[in-house]
Amino acid sequence: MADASDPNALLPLKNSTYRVLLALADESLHGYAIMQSLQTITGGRESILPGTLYAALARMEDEGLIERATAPDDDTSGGPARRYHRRTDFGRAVAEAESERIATLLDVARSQDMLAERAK
Amino acid sequence: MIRRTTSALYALALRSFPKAHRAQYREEMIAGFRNGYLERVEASGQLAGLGFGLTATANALSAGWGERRRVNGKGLPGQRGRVLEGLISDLRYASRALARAPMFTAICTISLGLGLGAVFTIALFVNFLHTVPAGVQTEDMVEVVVEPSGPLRAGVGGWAIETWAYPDYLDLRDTETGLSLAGWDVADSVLSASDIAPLDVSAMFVTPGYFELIGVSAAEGRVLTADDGGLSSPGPGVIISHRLWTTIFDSDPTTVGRAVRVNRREHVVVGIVADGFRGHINSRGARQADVWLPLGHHPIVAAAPDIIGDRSADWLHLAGRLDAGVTREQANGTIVALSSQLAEDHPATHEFRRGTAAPYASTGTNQIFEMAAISVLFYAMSGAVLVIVCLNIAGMMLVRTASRRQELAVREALGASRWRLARYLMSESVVMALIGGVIGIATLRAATVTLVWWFGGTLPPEWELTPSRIGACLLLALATTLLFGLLPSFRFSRGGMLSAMNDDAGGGGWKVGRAHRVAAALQAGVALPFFALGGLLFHSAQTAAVADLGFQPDGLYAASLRVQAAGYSEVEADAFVQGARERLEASPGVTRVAVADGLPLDYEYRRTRVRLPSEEISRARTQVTRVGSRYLETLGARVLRGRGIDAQDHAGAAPVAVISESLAARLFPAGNGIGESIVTAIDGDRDGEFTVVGVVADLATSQMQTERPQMFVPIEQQPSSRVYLVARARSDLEGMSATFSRVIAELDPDFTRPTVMSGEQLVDDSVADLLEQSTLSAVTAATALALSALGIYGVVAFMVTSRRREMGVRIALGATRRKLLVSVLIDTCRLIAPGLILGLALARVAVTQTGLLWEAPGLAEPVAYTAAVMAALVVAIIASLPSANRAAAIEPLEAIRAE
Repeated sequence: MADASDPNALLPLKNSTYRVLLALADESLHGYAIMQSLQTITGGRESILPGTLYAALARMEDEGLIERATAPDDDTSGGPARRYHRRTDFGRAVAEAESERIATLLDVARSQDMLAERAK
Repeated sequence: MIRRTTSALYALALRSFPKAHRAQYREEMIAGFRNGYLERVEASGQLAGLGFGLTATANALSAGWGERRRVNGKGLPGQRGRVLEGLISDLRYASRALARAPMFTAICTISLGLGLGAVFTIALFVNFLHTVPAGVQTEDMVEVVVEPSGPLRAGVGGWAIETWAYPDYLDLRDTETGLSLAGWDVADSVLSASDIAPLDVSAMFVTPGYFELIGVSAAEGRVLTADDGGLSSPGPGVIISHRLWTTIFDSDPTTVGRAVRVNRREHVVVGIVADGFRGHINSRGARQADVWLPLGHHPIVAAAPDIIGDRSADWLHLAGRLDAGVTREQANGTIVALSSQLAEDHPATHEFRRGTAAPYASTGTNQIFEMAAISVLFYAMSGAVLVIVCLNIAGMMLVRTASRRQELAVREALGASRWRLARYLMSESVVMALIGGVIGIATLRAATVTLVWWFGGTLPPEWELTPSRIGACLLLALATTLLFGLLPSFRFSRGGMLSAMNDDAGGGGWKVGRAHRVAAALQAGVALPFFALGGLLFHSAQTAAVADLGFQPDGLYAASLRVQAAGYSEVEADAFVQGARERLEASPGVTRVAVADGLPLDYEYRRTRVRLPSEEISRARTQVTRVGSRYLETLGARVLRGRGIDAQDHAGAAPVAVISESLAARLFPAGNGIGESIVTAIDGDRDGEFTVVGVVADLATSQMQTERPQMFVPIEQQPSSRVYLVARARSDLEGMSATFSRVIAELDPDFTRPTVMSGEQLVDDSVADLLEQSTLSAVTAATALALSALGIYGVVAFMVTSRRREMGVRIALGATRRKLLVSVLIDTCRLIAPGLILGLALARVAVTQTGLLWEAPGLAEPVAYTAAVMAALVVAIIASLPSANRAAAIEPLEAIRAE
């Protein structure tokens, strides 16, 4: 497990880890909801396959980035028992650190007119 | 089906995750997969679902092994783990490499998938041909048949005679043969009930013990037993099929015990047999029954009770089961001895008949050899398809590997072993095989559904895609990869790679294998007969639509009268037909009426051989139709010489015949034939002599494209159980249907309403049949050409790759690029020329054997051959153009540097 006190120790994050941290936001979500959330927040540009997602969830739990959460009362899906996950404070800190790292790179790209449209 | 297959693959892939992970997440992952799959299908269709399924499966494999490595601390424990890790890594590289060459991957996997689909469709078809009907206990079962000899053998064309006279059955049954015997026969019948209108059904009439002998029991109620009687004092019990129960009786649970009428007699349903059983011989060997009754109810017995004691009337099939401890050879010996005795006692009827106990065959004894031949042919076809696909893909892999040889040389230089290189190359084959296997399963499913749609009905269980069949398809795909993956792997992992690093002009002196050249040529050739046949069938359809059929289809109407099924005696049947004829003739708009046992273009084969009394060997095969007075005139056929069959040709008169022009030309090339005698055995009976009283202009026989020799004999002299009422009228089909129905109902309200067909319908059906065959032939030709294009592309591309240096030098020495391009195209033509010659020969044989030349096709035949050759050439040239262009674009400097 990574050093819980230093978010930078885990950087750069795996693409799947970063996407799951963003998809979780501040909610408690089960696996399929994370897949849907990622598609929603990226306008359908990003998706994650179940194999990658559940491998990432197991890894992130070990690394302390996410933790198990109890199912909300309104979960009446009736399907197989689903595990809910939420971002830990450490997970949020790591996501922030990764975002900073990417932002630095994006600044460079922007300075080279690679992000002209989005800059606006 | 796609969902089930991909879900199964995905579930399998999940096994790559560590056990603890699976325990926690497996259900969720499967639910996520299912939701993702359904979303794609809903948004973009089945193909998108398939794409998602395959991608998610590959992703699960990769992620699972990654997770395993993470949990186990970067790597699987021990040698096994390292090997697995290497394999996964190879597969991952292979998947990426294939994704970078989408066209190559698509061609290879689709080709493999289509090939596997074809192979499995053929295998299922052969399996379907030999299906044993549900519930039949085949062990120790035999069929007792007659092996004919002498003139009898010539009369039946070498086939076994499957039927016996009833007294023969009694003799066999009552002799200690070591066999239990049961007799059966299927005949047209009519079933009705208080709430069921008269319905035509096939009924099987059986002797006591039939069901016990074949081992079939009832699903509801009971089967017929000895208590239900046999020929004498038959009981009222009737068994119905599951199909009849569900369709006609609406699956009514109170059906057993219901009163029904079969052939105008009162019966009671005493049992329903299991779904799938419609007689112990399958539909390839015998008519399928829907009801079973004791033998005494057989219409033939009702029509002619004397048949019970008649040794010359063969009508009863015999099934047998060996008694405990008796071998088939022992039983056979007794039956042979008994038939010898019968021949001595009854020489007039039994001289050339020898009984034999043949092993049970689900297709019936007479079909054994035909079915075996068909099976061998189909297996050979599927094997050929598989070999061609393998060779094609091996060719494609050779080209691909040859173009990557420098990369391989670098890997070898960096220390990769031969085994490592071969494994690297083979992993691409494995990935392709998996994708090809899935496409193969989809193709198989599509093919079976199409076949069922083509032939009508529902998908029989023999065609269902069971898990074992899916597994077999994937296994064959994997086995195939060993065939087409090993060749390039080992060829290019051989030594000498370092020299390849110096040669960046390609080549290296490899030559195209002979097997590939022959396969490419053969494929081009195989397509030719199908193209020629397709063209000629289309021409036949076109010609037939406007051809002189020898009769006037417009204003002609006919209906089959199943008098025997109605349970009439012979006298009653004659009276019924006569009454129907007279009433129809008196109906408004009807100008002429006749009876016959067949019609032009009715797809019924009533073939026999004809000879002259002075000759031993028959001169011609001919179609025989038994006809009543004025039949030819009713059809609108032209009598060229003499007269047609008329009222003077009654039962007691001298046997006469009217023959067609083409038969007259074969039998009497020098004379006109009138007054001459001819000898023939109608329906395999003994030879009889007929005097020719007329010659009629050729008219269509059973099909448009079949040969025209034909003879007509008086139905009153040669009675038939099948009767058509034929009328010429100034009315339409609807009006005539009403007229026929009224006439029949007036005579017998219990008689099934006849289905009336018009002359135009007969012609249209025949033309549609020709067009269907033409389409099928064209589709086969197109598939064969598509495969051949792939083969030719592989061979020519490899040829060009291996000759790059030589071509570069030729350009450097002054050859123009156009000249190089032409040279490659000429090489391609040379490559396929032997195949084209063989194909032309095959086409000629196919055309003559299928009787397509019934009417001189004139220019159509050479035009069809020329078009087929041109099509094959054009496809070959198109397939070789990319390689020819590449050859013409070679930079001479590169070639010189390589030197």
